[in-house]
Amino acid sequence: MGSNMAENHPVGFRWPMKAKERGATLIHVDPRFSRTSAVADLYVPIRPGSDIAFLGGLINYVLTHDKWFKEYVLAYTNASALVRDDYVDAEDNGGLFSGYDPKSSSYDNASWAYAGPAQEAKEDASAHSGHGMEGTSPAKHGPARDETLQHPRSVFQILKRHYARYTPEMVERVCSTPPSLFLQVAEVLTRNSGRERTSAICYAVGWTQQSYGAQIIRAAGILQLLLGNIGRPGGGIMALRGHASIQGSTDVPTLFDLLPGYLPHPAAFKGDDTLERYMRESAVRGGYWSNLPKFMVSLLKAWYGDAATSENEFGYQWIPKLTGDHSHVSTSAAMADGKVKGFVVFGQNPANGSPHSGLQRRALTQLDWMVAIDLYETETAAFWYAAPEGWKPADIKTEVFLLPTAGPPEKEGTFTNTQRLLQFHDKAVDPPGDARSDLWYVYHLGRRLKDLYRGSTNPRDQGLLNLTWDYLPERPDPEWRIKDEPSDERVLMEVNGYTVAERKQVPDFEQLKADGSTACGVWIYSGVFPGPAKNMARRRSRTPDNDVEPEWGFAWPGNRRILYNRASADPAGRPWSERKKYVWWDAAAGKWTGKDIPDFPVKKAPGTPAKQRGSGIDLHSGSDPFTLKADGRGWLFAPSGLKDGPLPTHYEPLESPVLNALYERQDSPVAKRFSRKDNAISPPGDPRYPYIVTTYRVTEQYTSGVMSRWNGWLSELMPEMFAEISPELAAEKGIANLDWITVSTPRNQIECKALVTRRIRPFPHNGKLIHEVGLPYHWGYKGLVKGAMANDLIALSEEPNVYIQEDKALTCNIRKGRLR
Amino acid sequence: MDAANFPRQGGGDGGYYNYPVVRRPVWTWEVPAYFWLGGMAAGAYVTAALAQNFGSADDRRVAAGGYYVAAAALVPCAPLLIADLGRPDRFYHMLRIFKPLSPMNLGAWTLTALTPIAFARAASHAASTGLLRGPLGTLARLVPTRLAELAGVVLGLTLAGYSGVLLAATNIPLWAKSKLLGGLFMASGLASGSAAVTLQAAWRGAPDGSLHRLAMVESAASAGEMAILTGYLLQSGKTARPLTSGRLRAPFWLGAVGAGTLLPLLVHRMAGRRQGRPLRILSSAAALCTIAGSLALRWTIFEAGKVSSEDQAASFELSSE
Amino acid sequence: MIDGYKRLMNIEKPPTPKTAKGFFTDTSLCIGCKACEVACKQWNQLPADGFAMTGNSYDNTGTLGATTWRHVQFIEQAKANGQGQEQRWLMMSDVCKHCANAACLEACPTGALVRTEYGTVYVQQDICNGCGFCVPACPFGVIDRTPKHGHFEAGTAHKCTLCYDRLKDDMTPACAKSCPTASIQFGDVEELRTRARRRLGELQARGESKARLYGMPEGREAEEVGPLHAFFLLLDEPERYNLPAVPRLPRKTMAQRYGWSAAVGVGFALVGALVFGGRR
Ligand SMILES: Nc1nc2c(c(=O)[nH]1)N[C@H]1C(S)=C(S)[C@@H](COP(=O)(O)OP(=O)(O)OC[C@H]3O[C@@H](n4cnc5c(=O)[nH]c(N)nc54)[C@H](O)[C@@H]3O)O[C@H]1N2
Ligand SMILES: Nc1nc2c(c(=O)[nH]1)N[C@H]1C(S)=C(S)[C@@H](COP(=O)(O)OP(=O)(O)OC[C@H]3O[C@@H](n4cnc5c(=O)[nH]c(N)nc54)[C@H](O)[C@@H]3O)O[C@H]1N2
Ligand code: SF4
Ligand code: SF4
Ligand code: SF4
Ligand code: SF4
Ligand code: SF4
Ligand SMILES: [Mo]
Repeated sequence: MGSNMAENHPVGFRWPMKAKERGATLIHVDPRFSRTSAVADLYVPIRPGSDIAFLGGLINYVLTHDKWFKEYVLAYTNASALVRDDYVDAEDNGGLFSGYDPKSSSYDNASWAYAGPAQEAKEDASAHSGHGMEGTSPAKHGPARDETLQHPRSVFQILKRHYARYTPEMVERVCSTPPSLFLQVAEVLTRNSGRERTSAICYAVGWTQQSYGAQIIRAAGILQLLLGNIGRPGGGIMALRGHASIQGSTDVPTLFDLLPGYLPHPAAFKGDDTLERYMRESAVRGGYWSNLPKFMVSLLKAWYGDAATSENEFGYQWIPKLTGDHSHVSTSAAMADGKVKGFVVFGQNPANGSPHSGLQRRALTQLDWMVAIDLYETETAAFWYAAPEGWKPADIKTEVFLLPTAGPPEKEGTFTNTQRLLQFHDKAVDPPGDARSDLWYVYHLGRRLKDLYRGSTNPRDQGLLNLTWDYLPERPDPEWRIKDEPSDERVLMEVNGYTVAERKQVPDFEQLKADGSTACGVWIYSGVFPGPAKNMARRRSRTPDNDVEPEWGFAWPGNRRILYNRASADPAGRPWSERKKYVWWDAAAGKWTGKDIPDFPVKKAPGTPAKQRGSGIDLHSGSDPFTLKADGRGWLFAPSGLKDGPLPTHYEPLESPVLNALYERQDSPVAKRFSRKDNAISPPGDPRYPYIVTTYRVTEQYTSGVMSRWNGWLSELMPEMFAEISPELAAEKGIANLDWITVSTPRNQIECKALVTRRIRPFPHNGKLIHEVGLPYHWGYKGLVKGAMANDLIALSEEPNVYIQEDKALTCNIRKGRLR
Repeated sequence: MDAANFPRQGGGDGGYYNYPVVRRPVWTWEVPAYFWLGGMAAGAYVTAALAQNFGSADDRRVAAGGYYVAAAALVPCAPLLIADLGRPDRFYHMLRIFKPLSPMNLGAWTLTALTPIAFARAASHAASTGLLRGPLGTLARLVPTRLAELAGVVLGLTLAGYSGVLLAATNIPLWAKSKLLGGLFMASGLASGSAAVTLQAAWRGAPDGSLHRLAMVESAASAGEMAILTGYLLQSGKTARPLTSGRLRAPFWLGAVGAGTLLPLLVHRMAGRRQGRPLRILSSAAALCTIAGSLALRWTIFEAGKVSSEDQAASFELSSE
Repeated sequence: MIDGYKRLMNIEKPPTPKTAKGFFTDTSLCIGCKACEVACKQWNQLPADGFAMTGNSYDNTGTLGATTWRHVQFIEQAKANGQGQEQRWLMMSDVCKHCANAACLEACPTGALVRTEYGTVYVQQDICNGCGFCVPACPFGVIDRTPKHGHFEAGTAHKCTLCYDRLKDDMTPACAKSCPTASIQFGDVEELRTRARRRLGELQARGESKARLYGMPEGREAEEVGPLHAFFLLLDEPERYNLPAVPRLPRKTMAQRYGWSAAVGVGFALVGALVFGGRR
């Protein structure tokens, strides 16, 4: 669901195909019949933007048909926890949870917390964003529980009530999915889950690029927990990532609100004014996150080396504190308003790939300078003379620099793939001419900046001056022409971490200390380079007797291939089933063992009781597998960590042709909509924009097209921008296959060819048909083939947790004919 | 999911959209021109040889001009054949191997062999009439005429006969469906060749008797061509549509059929008992028609073949027999 | 002298035959990613053929040709089924069939087209003189001649080489190597046939009643051109994929055609002899 895996992850898709050949049932739930649908056993149409209703329907089915995996749910999830009595569910409040403040369009989530001692300890960890990986405030003695699950305020009962109205009939009303197909999905999924069998859910941006994307994934999480599909082989929820190392770029990361390894970024508005306060606020007493101080101090030591001392908070104050939302979308809006002066764009093409690309291009005209570092001249780099707006170069004040970069074969480094696997690759050739690797640019820029600021006593320059910056290899590789290329392996060694005194590589993150004796660049990657010549990401050994292949590359954390894999055994530590044997307790040896590295303290016996005092995972019992969670349990109900509610709730997209059939509240109460003149959003059911427009990819082209549209072999396969429409809509509008059409939204309009196909089906809704217009977003104004940009139509918007735009479900209109 | 009974999509006979099953021939005008000239040369040579061996003294004298015609018509043949190649510089690769299974190879060898023989026979005739003197003349007199005639007739018939088989030895429906294209081109070649002999005979003021006999030979070929063309069209059925009803229908019906066979038959009949100048004029006119018609036949069938290559339904029909 | 001729004409002794190699293309596994099409173009450095949408589903390259040696077809099928719609999207990666009796090879007057030691059909680029005869001879519309004045290997005939160069180095053909789902399986033809029969059985057992193999020795399609060394598992009738039911081999009817031609020639000679001989 929410992924077109065959088209966008074709190489990875070989495994679902193999599974299918071995008897697995492949289900594809998607608004379009795509190449994935073509090879699926079951294709299920769904109206864009209605995934929570669909998943909620499945949750309801599982609960009402008593198909949940009782032992698993009882022992491993927070089903039995009681929630505070001032919690009000969206069901009882027109689609809003308790704590909503309409003025700021945000929630105070205090009432979502567990009941019990924690209710009094009004610590609030939720203000920190951390991609859901941090826990709630620690309960002094854990939450109050009702193991019978009968208590009306137990998570289980709340969940039941919340999804009671998500019936197959409701699913049909909201999603336009025929009930027979929906029930078929429910049956296959439940039949294929439990003790002996597991099911996996794969998603990608079909889910994330919605104004409640994180909640859709949460809904899948709830479903998988109920079915016992988490932490077990063949189960799980697979986030199919995008660019080759996009996983790496969230780990390390390139995100504004995180430090490496998912440590929250210090924020002024959260009062993170001292390291101590930051660590107290961010570290969670229960669970593995209690170790945060070790990771944070080691990170500071890696960055600032000897300059980081306990006296100066290890240089904590040199890190700029967040003052607000600095996401890509927000920054673009600010740039359009002239609030950004300079812009370095590395391997990105916002003038085409980012939402509301017309606004993005206009934003670029407001800059003083821009540096684009890329393999090609992108639409972004060429906006000043080639944009469709037809600006005269003389009128553009932005000074533009285009620097050529080295492509992957022209440099060494690691990729972190979808399954968190790091693989190191060598350099094959020198980049041509002046082209240099990104590392080269960053390293030498840093070096020159350090030179420029040398001797400055300005406090804000001290961070730069104190940065450790020694990545040149001892001797340049004689094989290559470029002699001042920094060494990726040296960077990776720092990422792995080392002891400060002996400068010895640490074997894993367990060895990191909060006293400044260790340094580590990215704690979750620790173990990737445990010795001087031991780059684990280089490993390519097959392990014939273990299909987990532990000696191929390195998976974070600590080479574990499945997270929370203790859940693959029952509370007593025995495999749930012989078939699904993965990690189990070896009583004789007194340790956890199995095919994978146990994601659990190795010597902690299943029967170990939870400690009532202290901190960390000692507060968990030997049967609490979810070590990163404060309570060691999988969260059916999220007492904290999310800005838009503890339970996924169906809202309509910000632009929708229909009204919310489930709640009074139409759309996400906390999604950011950027209400500005140049970002008009059409109201629900706007007759001027009656059709759904969705955007996506095709195999033949790549994202904004820069990497594929310069390639003739790929361009000939998908040469022109097109819109996929159903024969029904085509007939209504008098459009024939290959006719030019114009697609419009309140933001802009574009022209493209029509591809009339039965693969696009209108969605029956209330006795009428809702039509859908499908747009790939790969074309632009540079390259061998050119075409209109779908993103010219898209609105600026942000999902509240991860700041992603909604580009999977909006509304539009179309007409026959060209723009003129 | 069970596949049964999905309605056919795409174009034509439910094939893959409207894409042709076979590829469009890449050949250009040189090919029909060469087939026409080659057929004519062969026909002329054979006619001359027949007259030489069976005819009266008059016939022999008059028809011997056919050797000149044959030699002359063969002159552009090799260049045309070469010009049509994708890599003309490698023409000689045709003679790299002897592979009669390939009509193209057979034709190349035949043309290569026939050309010198036709020239030798023409030279020998020129020497015998005193047109060619000196050492060349002496040399030409050494040519074993009987052998040259026999070999030339065999090669000539091969040359006139292989071209239609060549086109038919493809998967182009219009060319391949009927088994008679080889015979048709043979008949048309012989008709045009004998017509060329008639033409030069009339032009050189041949005796009426010889002219009548040449006209009979030519008419026999034309009549044969007509018969075999009828058979070809019947066998081809719908497949022949690009020829009979498409863009090419005028040149085919008026040129190939009308001017090529019907008209000369009629005119030769009209010339029937006439003598002298009127006979010569009518014979010449008929011969000219035959020759032009023969070109029209080659060209229209050649071009219609290209159209036919795009006919998905015809391809499926051809392959389901 | 013969040796000299052979040297001049590049005539070499053929290498000793090896086990026949070929492809089993199982279209039921194809996801239409076109990796094979691109891998082939890249390995063989074939140019792109132009940039225009055809409107025929996701197929914008249309057919095999002189510079497209792998080509992926997209067949959209739909029918109403109750209130819903039942639908299929068939994908098939087409290629030269490397026929056991290859019409192109038989047509070739220069010997440029040869059967290699792997049992495949291969155009020797240094021999081909671009006569163009193989083009209409192929019953599958595979081989084609590049334009005489083009930029790429002008004027000679081209088609899949079954990666002869790679086979020589014990490498898998580029297309098969790049296929993520094993829709294209490369190997010993005999073994592939066994695999194909088994696979067909599996699919039929699953209810794919229209699944069939195309190009197997026992198939009707092998009647004239013989078994195909690149054969297919199809999910519908061959015609839906533009494959002829019984591909023709021109040689089969050639004698008959020559016969008619000869009859006409002989008839003419007789008539001529009679006319000239029977003079009054
Ligand atoms: N060939 C190729 N591969 C790629 C890329 C590429 O551009 N080309 N891009 C890479 C990148 S950066 C990424 S992020 C991934 C993205 O991979 P995917 O997420 O698979 O990419 P999309 O095609 O954008 O969207 C997936 C599907 O979501 C469906 N969809 C739209 N709206 C909804 C909805 O409301 N609900 C549901 N359930 N589905 C919906 C669309 O119809 C589409 O089929 O692919 C990566 N791989
Ligand atoms: N409407 C709509 N918009 C979308 C999406 C959608 O589904 N619908 N999807 C979104 C998603 S998931 C993504 S990931 C974005 C992608 O959007 P962008 O990242 O803006 O687009 P790309 O074309 O992938 O740009 C990547 C650039 O990196 C360059 N590059 C490649 N390798 C290197 C390198 O080693 N170094 C450097 N410096 N440059 C390199 C490429 O040449 C290219 O110009 O688009 C988003 N936009
Ligand atoms: S492009 Fe690369 S990352 Fe994407 S599917 Fe292909 S091999 Fe995998
Ligand atoms: S498919 Fe065509 S080109 Fe390929 S071997 Fe057979 S006849 Fe020759
Ligand atoms: S074009 Fe080349 S390969 Fe084809 S038949 Fe002629 S010589 Fe042979
Ligand atoms: S075998 Fe080689 S030449 Fe033939 S299609 Fe595959 S990649 Fe292309
Ligand atoms: S590479 Fe394989 S799956 Fe992809 S189109 Fe080709 S045959 Fe199909
Ligand atoms: Mo992405």
